[in-house]
Amino acid sequence: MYRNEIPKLINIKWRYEGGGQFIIYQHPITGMLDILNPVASQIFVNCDGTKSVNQICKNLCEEYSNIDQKIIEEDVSRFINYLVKEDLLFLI
Amino acid sequence: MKKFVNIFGNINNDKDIIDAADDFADLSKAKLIPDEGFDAPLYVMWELTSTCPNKCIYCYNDSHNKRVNELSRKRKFEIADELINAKVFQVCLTGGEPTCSSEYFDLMRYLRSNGIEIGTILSGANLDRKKIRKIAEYVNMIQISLDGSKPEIHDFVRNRKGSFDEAVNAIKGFVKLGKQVRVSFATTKYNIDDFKNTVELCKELGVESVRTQRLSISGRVKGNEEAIYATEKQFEELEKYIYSKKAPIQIEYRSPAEHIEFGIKNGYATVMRITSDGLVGITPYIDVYFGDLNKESFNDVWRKMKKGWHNEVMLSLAKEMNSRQNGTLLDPLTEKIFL
Repeated sequence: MYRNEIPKLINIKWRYEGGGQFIIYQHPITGMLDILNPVASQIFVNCDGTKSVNQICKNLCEEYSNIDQKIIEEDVSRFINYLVKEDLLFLI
Repeated sequence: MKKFVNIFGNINNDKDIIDAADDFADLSKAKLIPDEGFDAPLYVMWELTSTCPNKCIYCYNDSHNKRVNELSRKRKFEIADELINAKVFQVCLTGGEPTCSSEYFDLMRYLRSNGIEIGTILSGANLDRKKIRKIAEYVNMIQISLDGSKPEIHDFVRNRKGSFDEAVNAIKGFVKLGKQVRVSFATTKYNIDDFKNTVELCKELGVESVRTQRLSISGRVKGNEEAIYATEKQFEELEKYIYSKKAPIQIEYRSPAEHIEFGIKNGYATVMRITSDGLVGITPYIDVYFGDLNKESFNDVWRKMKKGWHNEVMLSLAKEMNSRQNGTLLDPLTEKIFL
């Protein structure tokens, strides 16, 4: 994944849970529901087609300043790859 | 109910039957479920009316005649708005016979066009080509009840001549439009031995899958168990056929006790049941209610029931419902309870 690529989710039905901590979304093809933990939820909402992978990593590093940057980059990369594999996201 | 997965976990593809209760417990342990439960139901089962042209001998909610306080059109649409705002993922429109509700088609269209996935459970009654086409346009999950391979069996169990032809014509109509149709088969002593023939018929008709389960001792079966309930020997024969894996199409044979066990184990409600007269429950198999949508808002009622399975009274009743421990649910109540 190129760090300047911009992740953009397809039109997915989702909602916040637990006062905005979690996200539940429904896969538009399979209908399955997935629950995202708070970190994955933040990455998810940032994949709105306006921020690059770099920018998303930067935002999370600011949020989780006590976490090693490399770990954050790996998490972002792994999760975005998952969404691509599930046909839920395009990298533009 | 759909299966839940931890986004960073693995789906176990080796299991034949996915134990949602265990997966859910894992999610709960991993703190992926909010402590207070979900902010809204994930899934709503909405009984639009209790009117039904059939009077099935086993009906769990005693449908046939319209109830006195059925929700008005205005209130139904207000509730629909509440479901949309709450971002419920799926609503199953059922009854009674949902097509007997004058709001059925409008609500289906309204909910779907506002992003809610629609399922529906039909008997086949009140349908012509035009209505089938309309339903096919908006509904994702179509389930039709077929209780026998011949009119004499199906019509007897459903208590109405002509109901078999309606069901078969409806199945044909939806299949012709390319829709995946699921058939449900209720197991009474009068038709359970015809299950294999019914599956064969479903294959011929192009049905996607057949689901069946043990009847619950509720509704019309309560007090009439001996007259209606299949024998253990009959269930043995049924299960022998199902587990032989020789059926020509997929059979879904799940225990109705699963959702009770899920509730007992996890406490969280994920499903809301709305009756035709606006009462809100956590399971269709017992008359325990957490609120009345004629008088209360959807959100207020949900707040009361989000961990409703672990309500002391509900938990005790749930254990009593599952006391036979063989998949047969028993409704021990003689009247409605409000929690």
